[in-house]
Amino acid sequence: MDTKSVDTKKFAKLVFKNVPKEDFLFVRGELCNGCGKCVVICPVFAWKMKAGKAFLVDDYRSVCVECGACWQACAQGAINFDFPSGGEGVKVKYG
Amino acid sequence: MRKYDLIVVGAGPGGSVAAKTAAELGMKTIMFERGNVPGEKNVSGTGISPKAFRDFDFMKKMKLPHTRVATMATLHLCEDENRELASFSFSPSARAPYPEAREFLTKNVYRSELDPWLAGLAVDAGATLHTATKVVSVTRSENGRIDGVKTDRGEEFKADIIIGADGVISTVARTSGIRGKWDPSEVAMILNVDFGAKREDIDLAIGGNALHYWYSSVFPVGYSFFSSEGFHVGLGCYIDWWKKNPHYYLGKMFEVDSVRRQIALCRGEPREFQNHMVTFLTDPKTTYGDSVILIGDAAGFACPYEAEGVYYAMYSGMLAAKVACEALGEGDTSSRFLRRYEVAWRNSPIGEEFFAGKAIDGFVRNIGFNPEAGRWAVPMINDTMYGVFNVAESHTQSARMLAHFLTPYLPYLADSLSNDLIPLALAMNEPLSRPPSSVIARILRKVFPPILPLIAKILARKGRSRYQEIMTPLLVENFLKPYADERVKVIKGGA
Repeated sequence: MDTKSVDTKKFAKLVFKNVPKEDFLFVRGELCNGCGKCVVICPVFAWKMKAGKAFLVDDYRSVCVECGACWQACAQGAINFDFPSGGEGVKVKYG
Repeated sequence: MRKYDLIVVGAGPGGSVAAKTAAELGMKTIMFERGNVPGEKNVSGTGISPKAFRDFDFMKKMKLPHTRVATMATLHLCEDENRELASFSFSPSARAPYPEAREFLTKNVYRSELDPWLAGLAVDAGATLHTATKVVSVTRSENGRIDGVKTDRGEEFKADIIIGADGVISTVARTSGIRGKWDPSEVAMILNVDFGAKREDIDLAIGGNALHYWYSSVFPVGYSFFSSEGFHVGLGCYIDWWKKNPHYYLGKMFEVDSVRRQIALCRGEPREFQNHMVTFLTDPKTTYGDSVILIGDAAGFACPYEAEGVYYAMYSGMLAAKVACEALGEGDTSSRFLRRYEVAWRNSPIGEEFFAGKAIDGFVRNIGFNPEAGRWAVPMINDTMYGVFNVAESHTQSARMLAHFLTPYLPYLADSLSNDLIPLALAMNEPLSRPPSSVIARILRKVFPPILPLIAKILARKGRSRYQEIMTPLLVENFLKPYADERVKVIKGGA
């Protein structure tokens, strides 16, 4: 690997997974106050801000690493996180 | 609907040891794992501490293909401009209290190998394992008592006791009402990149020096961890700490020469991105309820210093299974009976780890995990080492310069001593049930107050007039008074 200049964001794509068929992350727009903590903390860029509200990117199911940090960071309780169904989602190989 | 004695939710190291212990005690045990294989959902590439090998005989048989034995650890210190100023290493002490501790610091393994092996031991002991099965909630009987779990396949399983071994985001803990989600200040997020490398490259570049930490004023505490044919590079901090996206800080860490050098020398190629949360509690909260026992991360048992969790999960799993067996024997699974579990872990190495939890937490938050502290602590440590080892002057001259070098850091150091380091030392050394020797306290209270301002005065005479006005009140107010007051309180309380 060239270590002169490293863009660590490209590493975020190195995730092995069995993309879940159903949604497992939900945001309740009426509770979101647009603080942006979920956008700041998410290391796989699954969250975006639009018109002062947080929303999930379309392909979040294929990028999310199921850490739950957004759910944990949301002080408003606007994010509902559930693990994907058994056998689906992240398959960690070298963890 | 099937009836068991014990349901274990989660087949990590804690769940597997709980299921293994329970099955060996003759309990009909079933374990659920949401991954296709145990370990598939775990990313904490693990340095297993010698404690696990001391306390569990079966660990002596551990033979995982990608184990690397860490016989040395290195701390790297980076300053404001992200330049590494100093580093130092340590290895196991010949005075360590038991053979494994004298032999190695950690055995570095991948959880994707450790967890299936441990789950296999539980199955061999007679436990049933259901993989690719997510437990969605606990179930309750008509009278409201928890009596089993429901899975995402729509099945229900009944048992007298449920062990929640389902990690930081514990479904069992939350659906049984034992606790809600943690406070953002109680949980840290840790992200890392796994690199693949050739064994001989790592052997040559790293050898047994397989644990590295970076302490910086730019990014939160970073680490690299080497297994036999790969390594993790990552960092982490409390959920409520991040001001910018974690990749900003990870990028800063990858700018440090020693990080880049390790990757280059090992010829590492990025393989996988991983991210997870760990708890950092001063003291675990409720760890049991009616028919429910929480273990490992679900109970918040990660050590408050560096978040070591596997050993505590294994140990609490063993204790939970034993208490569950007693409860079944007595026919009482109420929280009143299961309180025995809390008594058991409080009187075990887990309780010991949290004995000084508040003081450790204060130290970690204010110094260890606080990049702000790096602004003075890093140059201070470097100036000390420079003062001792440099050859730019005669050693006599260097020794004289050392005090001069360190003077500017004393206000910060005094502050940390009074707020973090002394409470930490006191909390670790003296069980509060036993009051400290009043003779020592009396001597300390007599000797320190006159001496420290005197030192400050002497230093001030060396042309540092502002020093005295800053230092003297600082020392007296921050260091001596609280220290003396605390001693008086402890002595009075104990008498």
